[in-house]
Order: sequence, then C-alpha cells, then structure tokens
Amino acid sequence: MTPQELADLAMQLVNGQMTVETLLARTDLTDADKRDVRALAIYEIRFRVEGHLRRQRRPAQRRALGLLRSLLTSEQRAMLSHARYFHARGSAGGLYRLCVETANVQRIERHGSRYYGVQSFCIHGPEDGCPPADETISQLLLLSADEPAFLATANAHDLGAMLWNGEWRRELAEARRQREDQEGAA
Amino acid sequence: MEQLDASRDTLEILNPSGHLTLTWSPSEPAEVAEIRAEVTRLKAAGYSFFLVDDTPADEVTAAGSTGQLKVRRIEDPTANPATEPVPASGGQEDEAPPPKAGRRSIAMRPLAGGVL
Repeated sequence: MTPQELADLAMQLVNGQMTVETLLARTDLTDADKRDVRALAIYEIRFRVEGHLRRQRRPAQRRALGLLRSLLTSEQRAMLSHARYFHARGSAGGLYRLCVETANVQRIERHGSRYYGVQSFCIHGPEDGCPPADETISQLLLLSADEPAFLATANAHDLGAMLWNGEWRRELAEARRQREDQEGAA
Repeated sequence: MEQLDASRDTLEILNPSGHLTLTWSPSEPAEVAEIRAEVTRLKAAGYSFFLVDDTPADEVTAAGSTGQLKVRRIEDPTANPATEPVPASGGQEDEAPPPKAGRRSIAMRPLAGGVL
C-alpha cells in the first residue's frame, strides 16, 4: 500500500464511510497497514478537533487581548503585536517574558543587546476553557502586584547559563569558522 | 476594549469568553449590594482581586525600559478604598494613587503551578 492509499483509507474512516470493523476485516492489508490507517485517522480527528476549539476560542482570545493591551505600555503593546510576547517587570524587580499564545512565562536577563531566558515557569488557572491571553493577564497581575507570591506558586525550571556565556559563544564562532575554512579548502 | 463610564467602578472578571465587565456606582447601595454578592460568589470560587491604576503604565517606563504595571491585590473591589486593608507583602501600596471615581479591578481565577 502506498502512503496515499493509506491516507485515503484513513479519511474514509474519519468521514464515516468505513467502520473500524470493516478495516480490521480486510485481508488485503497487513497488520502494520491497519495500524497506520488507524493512527492517521486519529491524527486527523485530533487535528480537526483542535482546529474547532481554536476557532471557538478566537473571539474570547480577541477580547482577552483587548483587556491585556489596556494594561500595557505602548512599548509593550508594540512588542506584543510584533512578537506575540512582551517583557514586564515584577514587583521585586525581576524581568519576565510573557507569551500570549502559549501562556508561558520566562525570567529573562539582558546580556549585551540580547535577552536570554534564565528560568521557565509553569503557572496557570483551572482547565475551564479560558483563552491563553487570560492566563497571561493573570500572570501579569500576580507578577506586578506580588512577584514573591508568583515565584512561590509557579513551578520553575532552570534554563541554564550556557547561551549568554560570552566565552562559549566565542568558542562556537571559532569552531564554525574552522569548519567553514576546512569546507572551503576541500 | 469597550468604552467605560469613568464615574462608575468596574470589575472585569476573567472567564472563558475573554472577560465579563461589571460596572456599578459606589453611591448606589442597591448596585453595590448586587456586585458584592457576585464578589462573594467569586471569592468562594477562589478568585482574587486586583486594583489597577487605569493610567497606562507608560509613565513608569523611566524606571525601566519595559515598564511596570501599577496594580495591587485587594480583598473586596466594592470596599471603600480608605478602609481597604494594606497587603502584608508585595504590591504597590506605597505608590497607590489617591481614591478616585471609576476604580478598575480585575477578578482573577486561582493560579497553580503546573508540570513543566
């Protein structure tokens, strides 16, 4: 069976033109083919459901983004429009990056002209269908009002310091140069 | 953002529709009682409340190029600001603006740490 034929069978399964029992009863398919068809069908169903949920949440996300923008500076709003995240200071002085699509929060540090993630935080509300931007609003409020409480509540994950280590970056650049020289010589 | 009446207090409740906006006049006891009942219900559901200085945070960008939102946690958005208890830690209580009409609060669902 070609991949296209397997995909066609999966679509028949998804669209109700064929039942799982019919698929399993077919003798022209190997067990591996049947597993692939079922896996493709499940993937397609998940894709459709997620797309449906995203479409359903879109107006809510827009409303939540409107509220969020009203809480931001013009500089933060510009960053949000451009990059889908913004930087904000906590009440204790920490600098954070908040992403409105994923509701992720990272503590960041500036090294030279760049910002680097130092710690990643997982903190969210109950699974009740609120849009991600609402999560971001909650995170922003807690960070701005009580950063220690935010840090005490969130689960933190260290991202490591390698990225902003200047020596490491120089070594990396040197290794790239050497490789390019070798490739050029060859 | 919808246009809000500056003479009325506002409570924005984060919910699956994005947010729900409730407004009331602090001088109308009936409206205050209605909002207070909603606040009690939200508190029972674990919501917490934050009072937001409605001025966009642009004015504080001088303190840091990324700005900082002026906000503090409060117990009751319908309470008289003069009687509002000062939080034990954190918050911007030292910089809180004087009481004024049209206070804006946001009700936030309880947050919990998740799995990374």
